Amino acid sequence: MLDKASFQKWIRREGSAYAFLSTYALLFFIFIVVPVLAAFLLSFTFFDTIQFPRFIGLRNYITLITQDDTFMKYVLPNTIQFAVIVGPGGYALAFLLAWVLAQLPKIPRTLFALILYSPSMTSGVAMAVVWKTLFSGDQIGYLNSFLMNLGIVQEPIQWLQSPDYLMTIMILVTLWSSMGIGFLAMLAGILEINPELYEAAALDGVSSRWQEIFYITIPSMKPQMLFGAVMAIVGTFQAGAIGVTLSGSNPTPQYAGQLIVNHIEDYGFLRYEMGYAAAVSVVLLLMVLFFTRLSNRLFASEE
Amino acid sequence: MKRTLPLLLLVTLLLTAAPAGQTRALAPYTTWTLGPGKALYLTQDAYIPLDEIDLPLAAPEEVFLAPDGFLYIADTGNGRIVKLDKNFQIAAEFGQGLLQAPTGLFIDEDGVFYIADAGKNTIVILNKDGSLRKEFGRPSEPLFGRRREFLPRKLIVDARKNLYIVSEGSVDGLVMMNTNGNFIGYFGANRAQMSLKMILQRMFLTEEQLAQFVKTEAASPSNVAIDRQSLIYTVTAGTSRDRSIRKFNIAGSNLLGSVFGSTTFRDIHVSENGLIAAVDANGRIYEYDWNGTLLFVFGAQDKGEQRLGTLANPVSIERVGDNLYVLDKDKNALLTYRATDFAKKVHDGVRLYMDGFYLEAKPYFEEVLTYNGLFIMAYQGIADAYYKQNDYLHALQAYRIAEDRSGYSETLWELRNAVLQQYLGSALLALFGLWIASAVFTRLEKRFGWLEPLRQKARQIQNIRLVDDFLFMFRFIKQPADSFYYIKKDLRGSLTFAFLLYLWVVVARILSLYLTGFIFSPYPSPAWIPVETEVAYAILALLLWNAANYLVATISDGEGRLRDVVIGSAYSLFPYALFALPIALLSNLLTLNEIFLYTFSTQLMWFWTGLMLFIMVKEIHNYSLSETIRNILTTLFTMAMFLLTGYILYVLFNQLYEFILAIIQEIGLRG
Repeated sequence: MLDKASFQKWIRREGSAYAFLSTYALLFFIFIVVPVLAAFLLSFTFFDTIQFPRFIGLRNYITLITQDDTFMKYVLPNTIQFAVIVGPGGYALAFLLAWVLAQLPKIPRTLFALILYSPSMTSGVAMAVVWKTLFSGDQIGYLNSFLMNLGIVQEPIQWLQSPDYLMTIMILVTLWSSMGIGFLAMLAGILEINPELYEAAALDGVSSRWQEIFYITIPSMKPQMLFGAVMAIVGTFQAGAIGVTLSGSNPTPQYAGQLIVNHIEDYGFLRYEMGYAAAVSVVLLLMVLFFTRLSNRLFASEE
Repeated sequence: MKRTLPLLLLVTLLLTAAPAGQTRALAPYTTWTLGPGKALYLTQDAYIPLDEIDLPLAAPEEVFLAPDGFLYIADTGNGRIVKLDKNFQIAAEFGQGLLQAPTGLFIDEDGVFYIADAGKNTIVILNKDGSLRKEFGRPSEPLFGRRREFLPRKLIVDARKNLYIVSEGSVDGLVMMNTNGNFIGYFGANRAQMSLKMILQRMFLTEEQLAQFVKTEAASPSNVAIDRQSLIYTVTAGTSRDRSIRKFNIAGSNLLGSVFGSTTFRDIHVSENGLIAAVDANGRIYEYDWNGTLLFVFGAQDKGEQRLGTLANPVSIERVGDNLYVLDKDKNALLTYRATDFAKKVHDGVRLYMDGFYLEAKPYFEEVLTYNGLFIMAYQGIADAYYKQNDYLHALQAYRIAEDRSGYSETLWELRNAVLQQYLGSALLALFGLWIASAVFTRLEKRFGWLEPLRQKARQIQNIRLVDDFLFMFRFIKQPADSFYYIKKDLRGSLTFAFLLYLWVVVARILSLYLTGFIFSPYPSPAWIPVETEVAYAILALLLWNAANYLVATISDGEGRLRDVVIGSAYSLFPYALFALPIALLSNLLTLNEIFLYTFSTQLMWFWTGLMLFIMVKEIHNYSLSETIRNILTTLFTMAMFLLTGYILYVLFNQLYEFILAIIQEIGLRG
């Protein structure tokens, strides 16, 4: 009796909240929780998409650490190098440009924001039009013909097929297209800051724009900074298409531009070793988790 | 100076043991080989001079061992080719009247002569009996280049009867022609060096201005050889040592890396079994294995003393069996050198080794080592043999002596893999278990407070000054700026601990040099580490930084006292102090596959240290960003000035000391 009454009371009080939540919870469960769990479970199996998965314990992980030369020699270094440069680099670039844009009046600001944001939306088309022509491997490619005219190189360089250059070009192109959703969030964050803060600071002796940025702008927009950081980390670790698009092949030439995502695709959808691919993606998940925790520690307001 | 010790060792070894010692008195030169640290070491004679055969020739340019087993010489001055019989008497002569000044000679299996005539600047092809088959000069094809000259000096012919001709001053490399005199293309060009200045000139000067400069051109090859696989070798005089010998595949790309060569190479010869011999203008003869690893270098220049085995003007080298024949243009003579037993052992080993018979080559190399324990090539062969036998522990040791980092890395990988395969699964599970256990424990501990007494104890210990200073170090990880402020306000940190930290940094530096794994260590073995210099460098750097930074700060509105700078700099070094040793230890478990982990963590550590120093300067002296940069640059400049002054003072005092010493000696002598 008593139980029933309290249950009804609870329903009256909090039921509607849970009802509202349920739609999202259901979708989240179906589309996020289940796949992640499935990947996690599959990573302990051998699964070739035809036979039923066979449980093999930690073998996939052990293979990944000890046997997979490509992973240790190319994929992991590439991914970390790429992430370390593109993550903070793109992040800083996004913040700086957002800050610069925030100084402009409204109409040019919107215009420029749109222009800067567009590469991250249209990267596929832009890649073909801009970058592939620029780095074209024959002697009429822009960069090649420029360098050959100066006599710096004697014969055209296969920019996109050469293991020496592919990574640099990938980083360059990704930086160029790194003004994504994080950039917009930061722009909004900067515009939200109360201008009186700057006036007060100026009275208190802030003398340069750098000091304004460090002491007012960044502390006032910590949530947006955190959002931008998380987006940057997730984005850089998930970036994989770029190397394949530029070089036109997976694996990329001599694994020069092979990132973890390419490795997962390679094993999952070219070799159909789903169990192994799942193990690699779990490792990727752990890496993203680790760096997100790190940026949380750095940017989260201490309460 | 580093090589004195092994040298001494070797001399004693030679005096006591070497059976080849008896021949030493004969040779007018010493023989060297590549030893530990990629340095030259004295070794037993590989070749001893056998004979000097004077020939009735005039300034001959090339000796060639034809497939029929006889020696042929291009007698340049007399315009003929001579054939020598087994007693080095002239058995036949060819091409008289047809040739003017033959400098290059090649004879194929059919006995056809291919001759580069420097007098007429043509290629002459003679039949086996000496009658003219074909003669042609400068190619008429436009691809050859409109203004290119054709000055053939040396040539070789490959199995498809293509001629590769060394044309004097040809910047595009070897001229490739067929037997009809058609130009096929250029082959194996050297590269011209572009400097920044030239690039700038090209950017800003007009065509006419550029035309006034001397054109930048690649050095042309000076001689050429071919092996049984039709791989083509060139030597180039006047280029850098390590690129002086090049080996080309059919596509014309160089297969040899850096070679221990000479800048004055004259001729090169590649034997049937892949031994490379080359002679340079100074009379030195170099012998390499097929991959360009130096085996021996020996020989001496004839400075008029006429000793057997010295060379006045060597122009051509040829190998006949175990003997080397060198043609001397000034002496008009053929000098012969005989391989010693030692060299024969090396050759046998190398031959088998190059053919991939590692196991069969091993006994030869082991014997070579009984002659000369510093022969590094032998260790390489032995290591590869062990590796092939799956005897990884022995292979590891041998690779280490052979300084083969990639071989060492492969072996380490195998050893590590065996261990990992066995234990990694359980280790991962154990780690996971530990993680859960510790999580459960912290939960329970929070509720029941089991560790409370320990914690109180820890708090007591923390009250000790030095312990507090130590713990303060970890505060810099998250709040560097604030922590430096604490130092400035005398709240935490002490000079005592700062000096302890400096001491630890120096110790860590030395220890990490010793403990870094072989693969990543810059030194081939711990014995090479110059401990005194390293310690001196470390201390000097720390001293100079502190002094210079403080001095610069005092004259540029810096607020920091000397004490602040010293303590602050010490704490700034904490990333190095904490991570240098762990990284060094970790490097013992890594192979070249994971080199990235090592370089990345090292770079991160240094970057972090640099960042801490930057923040230190900024906070301790209360600078703005631009002032900080200016201060750091001035500090570095001041450090350089200190060093310069120190050096000048050292030189001056050295002079003074010698002056006084001379006076004292003078007084002693006269008084």
